[in-house]
Amino acid sequence: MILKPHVAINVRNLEQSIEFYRHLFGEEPVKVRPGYAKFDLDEPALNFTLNEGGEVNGGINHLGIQVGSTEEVLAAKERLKSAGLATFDEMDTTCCYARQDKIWVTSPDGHRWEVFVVKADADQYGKSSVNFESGSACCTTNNG
Amino acid sequence: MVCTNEQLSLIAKALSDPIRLQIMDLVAKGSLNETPIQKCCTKGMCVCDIQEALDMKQSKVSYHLKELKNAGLLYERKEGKWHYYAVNQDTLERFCRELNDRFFLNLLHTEAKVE
Repeated sequence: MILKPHVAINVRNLEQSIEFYRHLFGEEPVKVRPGYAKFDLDEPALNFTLNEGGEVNGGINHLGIQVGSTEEVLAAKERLKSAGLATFDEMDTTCCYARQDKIWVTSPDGHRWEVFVVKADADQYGKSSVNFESGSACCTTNNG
Repeated sequence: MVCTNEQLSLIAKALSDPIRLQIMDLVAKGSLNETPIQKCCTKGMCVCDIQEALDMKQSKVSYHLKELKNAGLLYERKEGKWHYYAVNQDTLERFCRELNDRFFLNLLHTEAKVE
């Protein structure tokens, strides 16, 4: 029995979201039905589904994928860039008490995703330098 | 013009991923009838062959195949539940000819004029 976390999110437009997430994950969905799509990832182990309709704003600060190397962060950046999706770099940044290389991309519903690698622990909490419209960055002392 | 800027960009983007170049290599080899490396296919390669050769799961291979197909670099043929892929020589030829005409031939022409 393989244990996998399962995340199901609401999306406004299924087609647009499938296009975004297939580039973010670099995989096709394993199941697509009217109003529903499922991505079944091995790395990271994740059962991720899109459900069309409903409220898309919840208590999510941001979402992310931790990878094993800076090369993988850059590969994700290339993949997203060549798909015409805008990314923000934060290389060698200190965030959440760790030194990280990361990139950010925003889903069609405004969910912020980061792809990051942790290089070392840091003494300082740090704060993301990317300014989001909502004003809540990756790590604020209030809600981080 | 053989290729528009948009077409050139689309093809270059599709080729800009090392995994996709590996897939193009495999499909190109698989398309030659002399030494077929495919097992389950008669003509062209199917997802399962590429999956096995690259030790990658189907959803990942499918993602990259779709990107190559969208750029017109691969033909897709459906037979029953199987999809077979072959290199679209025409796209590659147009791509190469366009780069050649724009940057190679033009350059030679300009140099000749300067002299």
